[in-house]
Amino acid sequence: MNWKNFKSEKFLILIIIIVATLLRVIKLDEYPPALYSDEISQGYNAYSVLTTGRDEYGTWFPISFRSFGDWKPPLPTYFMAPTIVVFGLNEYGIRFSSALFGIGSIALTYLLTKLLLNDAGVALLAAGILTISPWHILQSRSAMLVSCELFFLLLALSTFFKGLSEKKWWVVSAASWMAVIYSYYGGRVIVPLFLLFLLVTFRKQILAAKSQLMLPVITALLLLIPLGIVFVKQPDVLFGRAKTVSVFYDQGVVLTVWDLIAQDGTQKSPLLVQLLHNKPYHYTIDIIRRFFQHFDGRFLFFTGDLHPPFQIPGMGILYLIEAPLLLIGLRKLLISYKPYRTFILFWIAVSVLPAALTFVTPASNRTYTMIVPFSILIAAGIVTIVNHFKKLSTRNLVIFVLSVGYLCSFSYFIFQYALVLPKKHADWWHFGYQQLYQYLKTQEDKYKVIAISAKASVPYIFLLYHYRLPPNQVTGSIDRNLVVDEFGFEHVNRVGKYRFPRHFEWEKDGVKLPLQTLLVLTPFESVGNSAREIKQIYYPNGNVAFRIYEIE
Amino acid sequence: MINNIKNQKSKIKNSLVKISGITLFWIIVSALLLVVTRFGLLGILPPGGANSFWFRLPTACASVLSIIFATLIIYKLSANKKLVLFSGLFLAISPWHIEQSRIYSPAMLGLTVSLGGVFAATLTRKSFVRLLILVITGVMFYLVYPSVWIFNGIHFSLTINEFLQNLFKLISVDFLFYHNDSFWAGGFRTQGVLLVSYLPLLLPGLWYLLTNFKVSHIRLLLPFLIFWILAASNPLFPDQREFFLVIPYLAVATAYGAVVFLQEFESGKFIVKTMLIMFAVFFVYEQILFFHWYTVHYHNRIKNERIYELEKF
Repeated sequence: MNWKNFKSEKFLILIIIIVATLLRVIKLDEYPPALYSDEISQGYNAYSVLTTGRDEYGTWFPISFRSFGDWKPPLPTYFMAPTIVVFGLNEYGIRFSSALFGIGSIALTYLLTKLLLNDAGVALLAAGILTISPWHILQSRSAMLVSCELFFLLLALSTFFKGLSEKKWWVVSAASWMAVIYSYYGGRVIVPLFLLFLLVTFRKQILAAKSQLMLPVITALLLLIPLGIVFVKQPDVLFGRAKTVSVFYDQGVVLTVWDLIAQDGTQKSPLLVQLLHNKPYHYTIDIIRRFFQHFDGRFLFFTGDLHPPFQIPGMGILYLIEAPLLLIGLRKLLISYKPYRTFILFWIAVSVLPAALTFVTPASNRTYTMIVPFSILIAAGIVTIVNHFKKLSTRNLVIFVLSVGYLCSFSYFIFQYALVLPKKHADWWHFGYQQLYQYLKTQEDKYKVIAISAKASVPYIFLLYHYRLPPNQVTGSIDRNLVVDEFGFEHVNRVGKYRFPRHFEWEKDGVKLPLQTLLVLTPFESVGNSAREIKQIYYPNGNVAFRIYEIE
Repeated sequence: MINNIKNQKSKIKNSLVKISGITLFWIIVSALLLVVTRFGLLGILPPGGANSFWFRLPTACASVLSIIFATLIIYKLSANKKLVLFSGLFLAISPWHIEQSRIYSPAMLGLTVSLGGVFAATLTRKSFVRLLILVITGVMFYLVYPSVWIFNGIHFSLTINEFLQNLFKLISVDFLFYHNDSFWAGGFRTQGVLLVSYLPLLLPGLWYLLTNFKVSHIRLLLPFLIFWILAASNPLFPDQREFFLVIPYLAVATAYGAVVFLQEFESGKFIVKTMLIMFAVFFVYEQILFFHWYTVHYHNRIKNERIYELEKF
């Protein structure tokens, strides 16, 4: 590459970063339409640590944030602290760090792709594809842990490969691997697998630099110690509520096996029946099924993630135009990029593994790290198609067609994301709590008790956030129920005069409420005759989010 | 990838003459499996009426013919004897092929006619004769499989979005290996088109085919593309059986994987061999499980559904 090309490459990556920044930081407070409960929890805890050095439970600089009983990995929360200092405790303060990680991951994708494939064209395109990826934009514009995980994974990989020639980078790599572990639960599954894979694949280079391994290994071990200590005290810390979303927790397989054994009757040998219908076989094929669901074209290109709040209505996690490009890129990878093809395929497979072990599949957040190998494959597909045509005019025509295709796809995404999503999935994003608490703030002096149903979300955290309750006062005033429910969540019964019935039933809970109570329910819950509806809170599409009643 | 016919002609001749003991054993085992799985208890499994055996017999015979035609075509197009033998075996033990063989199935008859036509076409080089074979095959296909939706004057009524989603569904792992819901009333919908244990064979097979793909191979893929599109555009989707016509392709892709598997086994290290043996055990286990499912659970379901229908209607 000559100097001129080098300059144009730098210029192009600069343009990509600028576009990526604009797409990720503009109107962060409006899109997505509201702060999700997990975002608010992290934001409030970051604010709490910032002001008191303790989280909402009073734990001093936690290694894992207990939050709703799901023990959130700490790094994304700690990274929110500086942005909360700059922007305050609001949408920008909470989401900005995630957006920065998103922008950073685009730059790192460029660097890593170039390191792996030694092809500036593919590297630039991979970064460009990531810039306008609906999957990447959605995750970067919300504070959902995985943006931070992806950034550190890319940093760990880039510095590892860079370290093959300049060993000093392995210290950064070691620290970054540990940062992945502290960023997201899935990282705790994929990091050991990645390290094992890299160790086996590059054993010659690694063993040849034995003397330089000491520092990275010590760095990694030192960084791992805090998690180890906390794990010994509280084992749930390691995988959060993974237990309650794991395939082994789901009763589907167990019931299927029982049903089949019952159908076989008692005339057959029990040993034979057990051999034919057993849990290991059914779990194995169930995990395989869930694994491959993530490569289903309907998930990738049409429906996307159907679990709240990760869906962009009317589209998949990739653009439809990318379907053939992905296939062509895969072929190119298998044929041409032999030294690293196993690594890229391994990356995709290992990214899906944590999700395949849960019964909530297909999932776009748990598999988020595969967005980069997908982008690389799509970029390789584009380069292959363009290079296939030798004639310049044909080549330009292909580029034009692809550009128009991407422009249309991107325009459609923007329409769906900015206009359709806020109306269709406002409930998924917990819209309405801000309006609710604004109203309740004006009314609270008139009532002895304010009861808010916990059916829609986790109302107490919205109270702490929207009232900006001082963390040092909060810790002692929260009445908690630490018994986890069937989904692995703990519960808060009360904060001051605010009560939060876990599963509100008028016949059981309503009668216990005193007079002069303000009761907030979702439209799916009913009340008796002694309650008078006084206000409704609406979603942007006009549907009712909350009904507010006065107990007479 | 299927090799050029001209280059392989001499090899085919050689392989025709030389049939080793293991090949003969393989053919006998496949033939036995074929006879047992197609004709064993044909009148009562799945449960049917008094004349079920005679009603089902044409399809069962056609299914045997379809496998013979398919293996002969592959034999004509490829010099790879292992590929031919594996393709035949996988067709013989394919869950969907077995299920369709044991009921009156126009789709199976259509498949046999199509394969018979293609085989006949490979016997001649004269364009006119080939055209004649094509016409005759087309007419016969219409006669044996008139329920293909485009023959019934039904208009394409899906949106592009639905059509594309149907295309992806038909090649999804969920459909291919877990829930073949293309034939709801009476179908074997608790299983896929193939068993899960075929997956480690299909993936390397597809890898091999993808990396050796040339533009000239599109003509070989054309029938697959036509039937795939035909199935996905069926207005009654997912209740369609046009996709059944692509089953020889799935068998060939799986067979390519098996050839790769065998090569790895022959040249592999101890750990690779152990893993491959474990896989082979799993494969056999799942095949046994399938026969159990078919003879017990599927049988019971169909029996119960028939009782329900008789009582209800």
